[in-house]
Amino acid sequence: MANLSRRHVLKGLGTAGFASSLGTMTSLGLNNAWAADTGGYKAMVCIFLKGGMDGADTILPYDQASYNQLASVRSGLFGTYDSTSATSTRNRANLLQMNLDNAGDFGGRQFAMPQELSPLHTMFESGDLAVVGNVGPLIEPTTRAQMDNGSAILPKRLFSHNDQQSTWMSFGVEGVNRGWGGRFMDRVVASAPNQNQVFSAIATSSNDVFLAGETVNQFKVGSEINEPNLFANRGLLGYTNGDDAARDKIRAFLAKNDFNSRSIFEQDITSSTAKAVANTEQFATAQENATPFATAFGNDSVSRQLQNVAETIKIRQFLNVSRQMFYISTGGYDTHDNQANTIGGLHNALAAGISSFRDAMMEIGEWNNVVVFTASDFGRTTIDNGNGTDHGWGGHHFVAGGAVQGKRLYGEVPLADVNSASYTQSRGRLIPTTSVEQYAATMGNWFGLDTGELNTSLPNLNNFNTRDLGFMGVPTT
Amino acid sequence: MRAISKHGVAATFAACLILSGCGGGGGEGSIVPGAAGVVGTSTSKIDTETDAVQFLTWSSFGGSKSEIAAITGQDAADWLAAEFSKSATLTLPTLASQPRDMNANIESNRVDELYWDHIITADDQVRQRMAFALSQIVVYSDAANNDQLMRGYYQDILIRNALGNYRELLDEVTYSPAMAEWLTYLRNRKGDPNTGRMPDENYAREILQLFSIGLVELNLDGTPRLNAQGQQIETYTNDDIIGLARVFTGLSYAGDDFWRRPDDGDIQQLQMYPEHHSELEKVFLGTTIPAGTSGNESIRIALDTIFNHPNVAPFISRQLIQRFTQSNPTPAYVQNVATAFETGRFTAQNGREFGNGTRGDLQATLAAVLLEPSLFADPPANGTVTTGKVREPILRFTHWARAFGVSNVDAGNERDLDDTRSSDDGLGQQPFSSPSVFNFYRPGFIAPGTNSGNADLTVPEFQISNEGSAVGYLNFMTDFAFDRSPKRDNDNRTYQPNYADELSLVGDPQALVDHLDNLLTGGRMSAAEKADIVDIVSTVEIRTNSPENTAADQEDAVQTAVALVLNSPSYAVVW
Repeated sequence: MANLSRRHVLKGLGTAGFASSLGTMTSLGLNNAWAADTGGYKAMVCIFLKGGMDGADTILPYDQASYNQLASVRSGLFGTYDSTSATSTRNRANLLQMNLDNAGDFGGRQFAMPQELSPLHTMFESGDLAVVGNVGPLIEPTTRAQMDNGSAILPKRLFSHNDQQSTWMSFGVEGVNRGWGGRFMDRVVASAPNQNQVFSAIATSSNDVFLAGETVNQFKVGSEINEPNLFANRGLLGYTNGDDAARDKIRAFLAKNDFNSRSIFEQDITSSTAKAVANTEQFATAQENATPFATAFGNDSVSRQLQNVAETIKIRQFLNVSRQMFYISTGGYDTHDNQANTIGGLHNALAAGISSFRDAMMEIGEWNNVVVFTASDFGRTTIDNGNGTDHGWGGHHFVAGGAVQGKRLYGEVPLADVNSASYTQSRGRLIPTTSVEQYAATMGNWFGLDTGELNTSLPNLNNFNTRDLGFMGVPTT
Repeated sequence: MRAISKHGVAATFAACLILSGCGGGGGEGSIVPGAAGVVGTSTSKIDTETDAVQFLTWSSFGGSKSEIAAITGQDAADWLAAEFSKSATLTLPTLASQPRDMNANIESNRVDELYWDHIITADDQVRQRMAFALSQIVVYSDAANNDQLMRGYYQDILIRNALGNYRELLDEVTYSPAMAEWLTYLRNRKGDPNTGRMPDENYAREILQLFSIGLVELNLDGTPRLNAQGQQIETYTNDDIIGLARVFTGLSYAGDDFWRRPDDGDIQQLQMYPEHHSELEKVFLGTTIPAGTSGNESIRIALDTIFNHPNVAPFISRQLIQRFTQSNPTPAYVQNVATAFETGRFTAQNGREFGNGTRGDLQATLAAVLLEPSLFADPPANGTVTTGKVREPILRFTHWARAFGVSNVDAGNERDLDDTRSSDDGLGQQPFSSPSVFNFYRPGFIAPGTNSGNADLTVPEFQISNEGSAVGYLNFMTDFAFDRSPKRDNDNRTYQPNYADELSLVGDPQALVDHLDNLLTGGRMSAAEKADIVDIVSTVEIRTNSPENTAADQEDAVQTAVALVLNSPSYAVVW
């Protein structure tokens, strides 16, 4: 059904129709001050880990003294891991030590990943992956002393899931409607007249603010082309000429942009249905050129979504894009309870997905042109609640890609000295030492955005001395 | 209700279009939308069938033809009072009698299937709709828990308390096994100074942020209060969370062993185990519970403190309005409902009284939501309308089922109803199965890149109903509209719509579309939508080479018309 019906649907569209639909570009980048480098092809892939990933259970201290300190602070949680048993994943002997190229930056301290992240550890050791420690939303550099005396300007609604997800994505609490992924793509679209806006920002799951820009909106891809059966499935009405004519009219009805509706909500629904029909057809046309990967992806949520991303990148030339921003999300990281039995599976999926994605990108020669990075609501309390951890602030994150200067740890991974100035007053919540905006700017610089464009997209960036953390290997602008 | 319906059709004109035997032809509204209307006296009287459709769209899972007939001519307040007096239809009795596997467990998805059947067939529609609304505020999701009875017990807490009092609801929710599992305070233990262990903060945080007061101080009309610097004022600090977290310690399943769950522990109220409850002083929201206070007493004081916070009325009222009538309610409307919540009383325009005068009375609150005078006033004659509600996909599906009186309602035979969460081929939504405690969508969601978003209007439903989900919704609804949804047993024709009335109009496409417009949108389709659908229905080929082919094609034409209306912008919105 799929092929036959698709051709039926697309008749008369052809390449001319495809090209003409690209004619509605926004004002081109005539202002020379804003001219993103959009040469070649580059993609950024955000993996949002919803719930708040526990950084301290992801990048663990490995030197004996630091390990003992964490095990002591988290004796309840380490107990649920049975960490002194020979087979425990949190037994120091079973951790996977990270051999840092920049070990000298950390004195005698050593770091490790749990076994469940083994594929990421392999990528780290081969230089395909870096870790950025203690990242979180910040308005300006912030110290414990400033917090205690009330002089710190803090992001609003810390520790609240939805607001911190929104803050990571858009630098404001829930309700802000522009994310930095969308803002980056706004700049690209303004600078690249041939860039197809429709496929600039691609999501595989939820409709979150990260990809929302002023001119750019997200397009959603799934595991299969989703055609409207009401006109794409000929079996529904039948095969007569009259039925064909009816189907053409049904398509026109569903793709119609304006019904003179008085309700503003009806206007929006008209528009979203019309875009869904038209954009799905455009995507389906491009997808007719798709060939399968030799690389096999797993069946977990992260792997399936990254497979959709990889398949989309593979047909990029038919989508008319030189830059793409992808967003995938996965849940389950809110490990208040039963953390020892849940985070391992989450880590397995994350590591397997990123590793397969790397293989797929190697297969098509694009690994040097993509960067995959993690994001999450917040880190978690270093002090446990017996069998889990609660909402924190700073957390540790992964960046992977051929261009990433890997095998290095950027930023800080503070000791588990929860009474120190690295933490808030209670429960060992890390105060971030690297802002999300520095993290974003480092990738944006590599992506081709210039200083002015980064400043427009990242409102607090100028409050920080370091604009580029170095992990993309691009000289600071 | 209204002297003039929304598209300027004289109300009496629309009166006979929905039901069979009314003489199907003609009667379409020929008056141009926006024509000046006569301003009528605003009451909550339901004069016409189209007004009945609209009111049932707000207040139920969608109007059936018999209900439309029954409510027409009544005052909405009287009908609502009768609904409130109906006894509650609970879900656990049906669920408990389901077949068990060898481990005494009920088959997975059974509770999901039965809930569809339940909301479509239950007679106490308003109560059930309120329970569904509450399920999106005090959110429990079975996404991470397959215990069918545990969810059924929770559903019934919402159904029983839907027309009760919000304070009692908070109490039963707090002591429910489902919520304790979901928000991880089951077996939450007091802090341990030796190991440094601290109580789990999860429930303390979410009961404040989501179930009661929200993050910022509100005026009675739901707008944020501002301090002298013009800034919003946060309702609690992290220290309040740490204090309140001590309250929710010591709870586990009923029985005599903190660590053991009895067989029927999932359908009993939780029990306090004093040895695991924090004896420390508990300070939060300006209240201090003295050291040594017992667990149950601490919870009582904590819930009283939370419930008595002035934010509860506007915070809950605004969300209830969003679930029933308006995606972006005006402050005046919120204030009317919040006042009913505060006073426990609401007086309808016809003088009928609701509520028992106790703060948090949900009959008064819901009556204020559904009988809000501005809902019954004439709409503006011209211009863009920004009021109204985008209906969540679940309600659009149940409305179809009820409007066409589906027979053999047995979702267990419907493969598509096991799991409707996918936005690729489902509704993007499934009752009691949201991805997190933040529900399917947020009350403050403003959709990027839309007209409503540019006007700064909140539309929670657009978080799941958008370009990315449009085709999935279309295909899901098409399957049901065409009576071709995949079955477990193909010989068992479940969820079968009755299109007899519609087939009788198939020779007159204009009459058919007018009828469907009245039945499904309350006569709110634009002239352009209707003209297109009439044209499409007229184009579907009706073969005349055999009576069988003719009948089959006529059925196609009706099903096409139904599917198109279900996918029209007017069906998705009620205003």
